[in-house]
Amino acid sequence: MPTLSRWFVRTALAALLLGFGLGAATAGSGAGGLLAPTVIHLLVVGWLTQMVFGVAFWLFPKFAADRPRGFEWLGWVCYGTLNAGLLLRVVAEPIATPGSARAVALAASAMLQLAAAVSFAINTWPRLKGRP
Amino acid sequence: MPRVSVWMVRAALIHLVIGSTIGAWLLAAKGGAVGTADWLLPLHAPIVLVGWMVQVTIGVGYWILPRFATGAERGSTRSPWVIALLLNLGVMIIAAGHWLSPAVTALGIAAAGLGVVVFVATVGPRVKAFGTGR
Repeated sequence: MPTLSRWFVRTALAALLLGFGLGAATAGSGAGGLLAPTVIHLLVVGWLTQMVFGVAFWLFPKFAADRPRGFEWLGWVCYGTLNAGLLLRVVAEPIATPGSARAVALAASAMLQLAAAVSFAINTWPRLKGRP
Repeated sequence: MPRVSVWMVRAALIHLVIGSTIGAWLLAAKGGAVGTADWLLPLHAPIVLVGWMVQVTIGVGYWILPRFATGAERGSTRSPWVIALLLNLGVMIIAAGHWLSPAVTALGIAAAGLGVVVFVATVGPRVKAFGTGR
């Protein structure tokens, strides 16, 4: 398993624990409702999507003999932007009071997570090679 | 990777990028950086959950689950195309339903759900230990 895939999967496992932990700790309280979108995205983006990214980078058909996993730096960009974006969301989203710092943080989180999706798609697309 | 899996994963990637773009707008709007677009919210979940997550899993599952030793190695070659069609049509119909009517949304959910049922029927027999079964 390549190093990048190990980081994706380890971080996905951490997001799984954090998502369940946060959800369980706040269930039934007022904070639970406030944190629900954060918890859902920790699980769907941090756990499920990140797990798919890590396994796909590892197991999908090779890009080329000399560069089997495509542009590896793009994979690291995907890993970095996904987790920086998710972390920003976890910190900024539960802040109840609107303000410019929260606005900037959530906008940055949005752009980072979008960059992760786009970079994954760009690196994965040429590796999708079919046979009859 | 069989051609149908290639197309399903490609379609899933397109859904990932579209769903993430919608999600990015919704998140930025939550902080007040951009104008609110609540009408996008009902589109975000089906695109990301069905169009991306379910479809990438089904596409890879059809490719990678154990193959049959005799006959068509992955079972029916027609049903995965039907699954792909039902899933992608389903997501589009669900999305359209938010402008048209709840009945249309229900139709989209039924189409995607039927795709899932066909997937289970197609790959179910392939969930076996290596070297066993047909």
